[in-house]
Order: sequence, then structure tokens, then C-alpha cells
Amino acid sequence: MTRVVCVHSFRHGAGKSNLTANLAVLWAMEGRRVGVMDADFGSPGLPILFRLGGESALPCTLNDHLHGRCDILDAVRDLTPLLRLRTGVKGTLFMVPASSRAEDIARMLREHYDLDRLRDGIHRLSQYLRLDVLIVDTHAGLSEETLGLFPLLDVLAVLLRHDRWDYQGTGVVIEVARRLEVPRMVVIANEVPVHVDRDRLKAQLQSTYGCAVAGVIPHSDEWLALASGDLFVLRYPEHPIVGLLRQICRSLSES
Amino acid sequence: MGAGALLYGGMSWLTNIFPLNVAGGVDIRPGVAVPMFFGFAFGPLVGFVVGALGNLLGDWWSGYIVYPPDPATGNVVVDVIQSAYLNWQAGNGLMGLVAGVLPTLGYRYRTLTDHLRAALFIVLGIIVGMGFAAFTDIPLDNLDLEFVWSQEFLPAVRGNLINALLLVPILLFNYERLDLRSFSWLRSGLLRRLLLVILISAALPVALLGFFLTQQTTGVKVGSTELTIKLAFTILLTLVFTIANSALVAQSISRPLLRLAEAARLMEAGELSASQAGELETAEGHDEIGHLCRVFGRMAREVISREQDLRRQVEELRIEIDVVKQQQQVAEITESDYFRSLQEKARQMRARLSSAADDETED
Repeated sequence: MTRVVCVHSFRHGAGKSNLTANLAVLWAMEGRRVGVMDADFGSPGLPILFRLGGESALPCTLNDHLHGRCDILDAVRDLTPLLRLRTGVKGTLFMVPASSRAEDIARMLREHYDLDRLRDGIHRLSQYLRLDVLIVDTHAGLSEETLGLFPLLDVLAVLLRHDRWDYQGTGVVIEVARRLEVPRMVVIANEVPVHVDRDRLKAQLQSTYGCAVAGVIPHSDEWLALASGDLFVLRYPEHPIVGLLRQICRSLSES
Repeated sequence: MGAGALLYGGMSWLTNIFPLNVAGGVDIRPGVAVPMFFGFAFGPLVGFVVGALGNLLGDWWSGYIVYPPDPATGNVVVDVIQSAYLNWQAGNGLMGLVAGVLPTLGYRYRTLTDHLRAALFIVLGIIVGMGFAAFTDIPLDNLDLEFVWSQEFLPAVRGNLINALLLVPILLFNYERLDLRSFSWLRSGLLRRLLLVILISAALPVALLGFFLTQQTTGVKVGSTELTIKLAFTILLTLVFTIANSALVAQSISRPLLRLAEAARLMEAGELSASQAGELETAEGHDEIGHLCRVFGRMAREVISREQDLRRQVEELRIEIDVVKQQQQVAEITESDYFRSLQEKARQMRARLSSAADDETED
């Protein structure tokens, strides 16, 4: 069975896409068959993070599948050679990008897509690519599209920053996800100021939201300086934060 | 104490080749710094014994002491005093004794004021010591005051003052910064550099000068071998003194620097405590290193306190959630028709999934 994981956040800019891509790579490096799907139609970021070419390099995208213009399997990009080139590790990593063309983005914002087609796409991907993990990047907040994804999830990871507004919104996300019967929910704190006692914050988060805390990621100048130009785990494989991300992977794999 | 006396005696003998004045046997003696330094360092008793015993040994080796005592006056006590110059030995002892008063008063030799105070005691010690020795010659040797004043007291005070004022401050400066327990300064690159520079610029010329002097003196028939040995020893001692001094100076520079480097390392690791920073901030010394220590200490303390402020601020920030508002937000989402249908769909899907999983396990 494929485990469908989503890193979500109440607010935009918590570092969702970045964390999604990094976790996908770490999982693949551990030998899992990993798929990463960009369902953040409003601001698709995964191709940039994986340093893939522009729109001309993407003949078919998730948008096309959702609008019935192509089969989802045609939108799959095999990142296995790229991963092997960068890490020397023989992992298996596939990506399904969203379209970054302005008209496609506008169309997605205008019309609702067919949730059943997305559901079908995820199912087909998992089956044909024999995925262990499918990690989905969505739009922040609780729009209908995002909510529509929740029934498909095995794990929902809510990413938040050390910020009062985020603390409030995360509570809402978790309560809503609970009502949609998401089997496992975890909280991940990102960009935590270095002076914060991380164990204490973890305990606070746990008691506030009543769910597991998969990780507390401290602020890192190195990560910020990458400015999404590269994946952190590939650029700084020895960094202590990479160890934290591995723990997050393990926590997301638990049931 | 014994070592000090031997050192003083040896140095007196070695340098008696430079008679300052024909009368009185008062020579240029850099050794005079020894009892005064021992006094400053270890107190009046040590100063006195090193001065008196050391000078006695020096006179003995130089052949000034008449033994057995010359029964010139018939009074045994006076004869012994005269033959062994005991009043002069006591005078030398007094120089060390006066210097030794300073440590009993609890003074150290760190600042310029400390060194000026020590210099005052040097002058005082020499006047008292040499005064005692010279003026006791009046009744003992039946000398007149005018002769004692101009031929004994003044030359002795002058010669000793020059030597002591030049050497004692250097010795004290180094003594104050000497730390024999820690050998970390041996690794000092500064030490090697300083040694090399001083060796080239000071010791080599002295060695050359000594070489020429020994060449000259070998022409003198009487006592030429002894003179050569004395010159050679003087040169050797000069070299040792130069090297030891430069080593001590290098240590005095490198030790605080090493401490500073260690503090910087601790700070990098985030382990420097506020009290350690405070110690650096109150570092003494009017030189650039002392200044650097204080500046670094102040900077470290400020960084540490800023970090503590930040930490406190961060700890005060609690996760506050407005429960009413949250429930309101949740209700806004969940009470729509869309959400209800989604909830229903989710329930169906989960049921289907779990039954599919059951099927799988049954297979």
C-alpha cells in the first residue's frame, strides 16, 4: 500500500514545498520508491527546487490530467537519474509537476477541478509506479481543493512557524482534518529561532494540539541563503538539520 | 635562599674585574640586583640572607677576605669584622631587607605606580645598606668622614643604583607575569620570534664584543687566564639573561593572548559565561593586550546578555490560542454543504480502503 502524505500549512510561506521536496529526496535515499506531486496549483514550486527546466520541458502536467487532456502517467518525470547523479544513491524518485504557465494557473483559480480525477490519478500513480510513499504539496490554507485532498491522506503533517497567527490557524487545520478522519496527523515547526528551547516548544505543541510533533526545525541561514535554488539535503548532507529531517521522515512513516 | 646567595656571590666575583674606584673595593656589579629582587619577591629575611651571604661568598672567591683574621687591633671581634668586611656584608643584606619590606605590606608589581614604589625602595635600600656599611668604617677603620663619604659611600651608592635601577624592574616585571605551572606558552610562536630577534640584535653583538675583549686580555700576562674565564662567564651570563628575559617577555605577551584565544573559542561554542567575560573585562595592564582583553570582555558580556534577553523573550512567548475564535473558524468551514458531502465521501472512502485492506490480508 502506498502511504499518501501531505505537508500542509495554514499560512503561505511556512516552507511547505521546500520541506516536501527535501523529505521526498531523503525517503528515496533510504531506498523507498517515492513519488512527489505538486498540487499547489497557485504557486507551483517543485520544478524550481529540483532545478528542472521551464514549462517547455513539461509537455504534460497534473493540470492537464485534471482537465482531461492527458493521462497522469504521461505527466510523471523520473528523477531517479538526477538523484543518482547528485547523491550517488540508487533511489527511486518520481515527480508529477503542476503547470507553471500563467493561463493554467489562472484557470485553476477560476474553476474547481474534479476531485475524483485527482483521486483517480493518485491511485493510478501509486499502482503503476509501485510507490511506497506519495508526498503531495498543496496550497496553503483551507480552500475546497485542499480540503478535498484530505480524505485521500494517510498522514497530514501541518507545518507551522513560530508565530501567533500560525498557532491559531494550525488548530483550525487539525480540527478540520480530524473531522475528515485523517488517520495520522503530526505537527512540524519550521524556522524556529535558535534561542528557543526546542524540547520545551515540542512539549507545548504536543499539549496544545493533542497530536505528535514530528520535528522542530531551527532557523538556518544556510537554508535561507539557498533561496530555493537547490535542495538543502543535497547541498548540506552533513548538516544537523538533515538529521532532524530524517527523524521527520521516520515519524511520518509511523502509523 | 641558598641559590640566591650563590648567584649573588658568583656574579660579584665574576664582575669584580671592573673596579669603579681604586679605594673601597666597590665595583660595577650587576649582581646587586639579585638580593634586592629576592627581597622584593620573597620578603625581608630572604633578601637579607641573600645579600649578606652572597656578598660574603663573592668576597671570599675574589680573595678579599683575610683568613685567618689579621690581628691588627688585638680586639678579636673588630679583627674578624675588619678581615671579613662584615659591616659591608651586613650592608648588602640591608639592601635586600629594605626591598623585602614591600611584599610584607602586600604590594605587587603590576602597574607603573607599583614599579615606581619599588624603585623608591631600591634607592632607599641602597642608601640604608651602603650607608650602614660605609659609615661603620669610620669607627672600625679609623677613617674620616670626608674620605668615607667621597670614596666609599658615594661610589657604592652610585654604582649600585645604576645596576639595581636598570635590572630590578625588568626582573620584577617578569616575575609578576611568571607562571611556571602552565607551559602552554612554550608553544608560542611569538616566543620563538622574539627569541630570534633579541638573540640577533643583542646577544650576538655582546658575544662578539666579549670575544674581542678576551682577545685583548690574553695579551696581559698576570691573571690572564682568570680574566678570560671571567669574561667568558660574563658573556655566557649575559646571553642567558638575554634569552631568559626575552622568553619571559614573550610569555607575558603570549599568555594573555592564549587566554583570549581560549575565551574566543568558548564564545564560539556558546560556552563562555558572563563571569568569565567579566574577568576579561577587568584585566589589568596599560598595554595593548590589556586593552584588547578589556574590549573583548566587554563585547563578550554584551553579546551574552543580549542572547540571554532574546532567550527570555522567546521563553515568554507562549502558544496562545483563542479557542472561541478557533471554533468559530472551524464551524465556518465544517458547516457548509460542501464540507458535509466531503465528510460523507471521506467516510465512504475510508470504509472502502479498510475493507480493501481486509481483503488483502485475507488473500
